[in-house]
Amino acid sequence: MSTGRWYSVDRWFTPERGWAITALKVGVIVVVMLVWHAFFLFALIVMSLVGLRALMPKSETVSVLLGVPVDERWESISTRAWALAGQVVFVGVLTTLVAMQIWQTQGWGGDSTPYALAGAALAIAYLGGIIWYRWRQ
Amino acid sequence: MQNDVRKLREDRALSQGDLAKHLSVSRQTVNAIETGRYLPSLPLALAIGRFFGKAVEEVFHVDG
Repeated sequence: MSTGRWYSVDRWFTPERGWAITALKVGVIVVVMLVWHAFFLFALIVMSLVGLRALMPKSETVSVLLGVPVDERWESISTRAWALAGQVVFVGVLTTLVAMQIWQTQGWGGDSTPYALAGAALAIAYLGGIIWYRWRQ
Repeated sequence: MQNDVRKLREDRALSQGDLAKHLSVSRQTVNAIETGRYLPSLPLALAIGRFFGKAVEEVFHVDG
């Protein structure tokens, strides 16, 4: 049936084209959402930093969190907190590595390589630190 | 390790904030030193001794 226009909407809008348009729409929505998600996360980080920076003169804890300890005691607290965090991460990585190895041995799949690499990186960083500070003092 | 920082400060009618300002540390750090929760570094211990006009071993001494 002719509509008098140069194309027919019914004939042009085939199921295949409909699916293609839908796929395109979904793709655009996903990309827009990813971009917005990234933008939102970035904005959140920037706002947190700006907020913390504004609180910095009022709070010594905030100063440490921003990497500017106010005196030697706070520097010592920060160093020990980093050391504790590093130990917790190292134990967590090693525990997961062992668990993944057992999991793999049982033939249940999984890949322990990332945990082995993370553990190796932590160990190398620690040994590097020992060598560096031993050399410095 | 014990110290006489609180006594020396109170003898001079100074607040923890005043002493902290003179030593360029936080008031909380002065409080931690006075209560024995924090042992200052040698430079800070020397600065405390110098501020009160005393030797370090007159301000900080081993328990007992």
